[in-house]
Amino acid sequence: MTWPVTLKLDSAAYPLSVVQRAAYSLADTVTIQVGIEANQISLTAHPAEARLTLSPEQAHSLILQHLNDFALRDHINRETVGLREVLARAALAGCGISQ
Amino acid sequence: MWDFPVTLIATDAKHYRLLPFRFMRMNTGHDRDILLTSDTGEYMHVNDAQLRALSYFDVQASTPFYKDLLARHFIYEPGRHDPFPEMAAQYRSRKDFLFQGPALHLFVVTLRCNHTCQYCQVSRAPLGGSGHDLSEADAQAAVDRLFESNAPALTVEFQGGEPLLAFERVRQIVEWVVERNVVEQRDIQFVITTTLHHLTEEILDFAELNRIQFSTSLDGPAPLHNANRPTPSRDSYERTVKGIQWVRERLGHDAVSALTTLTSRSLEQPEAIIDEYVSQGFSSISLRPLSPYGFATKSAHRLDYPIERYLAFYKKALTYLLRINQQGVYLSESYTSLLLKNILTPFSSGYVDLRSPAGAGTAALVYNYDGYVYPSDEARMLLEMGEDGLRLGTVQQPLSELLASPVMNALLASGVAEALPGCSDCALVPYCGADPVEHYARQADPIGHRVFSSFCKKNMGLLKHLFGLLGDGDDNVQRVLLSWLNRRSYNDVRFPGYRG
Ligand code: SF4
Repeated sequence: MTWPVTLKLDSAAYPLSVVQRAAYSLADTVTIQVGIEANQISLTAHPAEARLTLSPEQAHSLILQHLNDFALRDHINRETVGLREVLARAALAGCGISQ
Repeated sequence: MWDFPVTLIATDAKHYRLLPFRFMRMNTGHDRDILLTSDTGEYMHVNDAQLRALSYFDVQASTPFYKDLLARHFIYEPGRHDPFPEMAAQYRSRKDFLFQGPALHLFVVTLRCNHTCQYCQVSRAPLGGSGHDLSEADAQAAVDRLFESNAPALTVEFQGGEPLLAFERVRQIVEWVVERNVVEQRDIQFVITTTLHHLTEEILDFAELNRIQFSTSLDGPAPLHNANRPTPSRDSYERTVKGIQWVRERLGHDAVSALTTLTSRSLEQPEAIIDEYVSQGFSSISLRPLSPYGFATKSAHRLDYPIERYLAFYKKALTYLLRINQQGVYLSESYTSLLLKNILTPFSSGYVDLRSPAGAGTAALVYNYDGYVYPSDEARMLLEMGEDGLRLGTVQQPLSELLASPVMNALLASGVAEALPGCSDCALVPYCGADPVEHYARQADPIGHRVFSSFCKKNMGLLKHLFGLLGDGDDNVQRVLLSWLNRRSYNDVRFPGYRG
């Protein structure tokens, strides 16, 4: 495997917002270009710094791990949608910023 | 508790529902490497299989894991148990600082100073400089602003420059505050942040009368302190140590505390700095990295350092502190104690930098010598870098107006960590804070990008390290950490009572 590292993803499994969050969170390690073609999202990753010690294989599995973690976060957020706001509103009633 | 309906009824076969939580891989190499945290600050360590099972409703109800998840509010059973009232109470405890106005009021009585520290975070004017003192009219207005805050406990801190060079103004302000407080009945603490070089019997008499605390700077042993803090007579260390002893003789041992500024050369000598604090009889040391403000940035090429170097220093220093505390010395690291409070108790430390929404302006106000009001000391320091955009207004404006200023709105808009990119997905957010002023200073953007942020790297590094220490099963280390949390001696802490 060589740089740039490329991945092709099914957008049903990895929504664009998940891909973007993963790319954002890895910005100090790899710079990722995101492209969309039909039902596929393509990722092209370059080292963020010339002195990066990560191999392309390691970068590939790191990106995949972040994608899967952000997909799981997305699932958790969908399962709990609205609860955070309910909790904060109830807890902070009367402090002046709860709205 | 609820003034609106919350529907907790199961509509399908799932036997439990998820409550909001975040997770993070700690990269410890341990099996249960993933940290789960709830919005109320509860936490658990789990492995990948447990995280998946939890998220996809596959945890069996009879298991201890399930009961743990239920007890710590990661899941609930609709129709059987309503966790929300308890969670709302916990959430409220963690954010209780939001229910009161600014409690910390910093009066910059003068910019004059006898030191010429290259890293000086607040900038200064020469000893005889004019036009660098807080006027009487502005000081009086600042006292009005102070009492416009509804905080029941107020801290009035005098800063500089060197505030003892403007002691008459300090005296006046203390007298006004004391007089007003006959009616106001607040709990007021006075602090003077000073090198102690200009202490006199008269100042100590006044401090005794008004129970004024002193906060000084001690950077380590004489060679290091004097190199960090040059004066024409090259005796900064000797004069500060003499001042510490003098305050203690007159006002008691605990009337003076000290802060450490860590320059690049300090990072090579953690043990020597700690030994100095032990020999001076302090019970707390603050190992804080240099801030990117004031003159610090101009001299950054020589004095600043990457945050990774600070983290390596901190870990070495903490290891040494943990060792000597087990040998009977009581010396806590203050930032560690604050983080431990955030992790291990249902309360927030309330510390300005570890608040979300951000503490700048909501927790603290700075009345600058020139009559302008700033939301934090750091925002004032930016002024010395030619940046005056972070002013709230002038001290003559009422507090309500200052707190409704566009700057304050901008800080709040970028100061809720739970809503910031990066932080919103970070499992450490219940224990961390938002610091829009630092991000503005470092990244020219009050939101900033967390993976490039020194603030984030520092807090993430320290929090991960502490979670590692709490989880690695060394009872002696945990006893020291709990002794710091409870401010008790090591020998009084018998059984580590943390969970996780
Ligand atoms: S600043 Fe960093 S460590 Fe703190 S909550 Fe945000 S992402 Fe997490």
